[in-house]
Amino acid sequence: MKEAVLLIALTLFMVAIGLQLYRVIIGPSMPDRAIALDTIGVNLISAIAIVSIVLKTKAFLEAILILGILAFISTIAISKYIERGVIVERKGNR
Amino acid sequence: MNVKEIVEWIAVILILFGSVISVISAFGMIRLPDVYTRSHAATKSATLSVLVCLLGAFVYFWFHDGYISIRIILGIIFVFITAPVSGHLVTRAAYRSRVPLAEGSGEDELKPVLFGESNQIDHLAFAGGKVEMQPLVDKDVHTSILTEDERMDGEELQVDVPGDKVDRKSSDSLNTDENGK
Repeated sequence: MKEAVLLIALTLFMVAIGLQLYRVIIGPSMPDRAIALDTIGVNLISAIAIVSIVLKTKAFLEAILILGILAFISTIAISKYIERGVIVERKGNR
Repeated sequence: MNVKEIVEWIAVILILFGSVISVISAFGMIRLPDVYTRSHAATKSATLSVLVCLLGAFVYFWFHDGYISIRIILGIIFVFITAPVSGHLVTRAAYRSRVPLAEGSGEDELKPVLFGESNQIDHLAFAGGKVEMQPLVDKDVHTSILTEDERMDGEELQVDVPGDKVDRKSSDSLNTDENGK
């Protein structure tokens, strides 16, 4: 019974990821896609938590941290690229 | 049904609640008209859904296995800190690369401060969307949004010609002269 509820929750997260994938594909501008990709990463985190409960293992809990860090760093890199046109700025005096 | 079962059920229901909030935020991402309004759906409710879901997983592991997971706590803190920051950065980049506001938005007061009166477009290639060479708020939309009082203010501004100002200045100077006398 608990597993059924957990699987329903996992399905709802996958539905949310699918809807945001629609926004990634047709999003009219680049920041739309960046926001949707960030939200997909954040939803994948909770999907991994549910999977690790269903499979009765603790091995996936590191993946939560890794995915959180990757989603944050990639979103910041995309937004800097959209704003400035470069990701790593070189401020040289020459 | 002992305490362990009850707490596990509470954890499972927290996870279900988080998934429902996530679907609601996904519908917000689909239905809202603008980048700036979509960022509301993407940052606030998605962050809440992930926090509730990870809290449910933490409680479940705690009472099912007797295992207090430091990693899940770290994940909760990290998501709670970084999701608003990333949403703010993406929205800032969107505004600075001149992604247009939705039709029916109010007056854009940041635009003359940031871009001035000149309308040159430099980072358009990165916006990639339907950005037109016009100011962000169309005049038609603007006048349709105005209330009657604002319209009357606008008419007064149009009537206010320079000659009138000169008259007012002269009358003011006359008044000050009279006060000085």
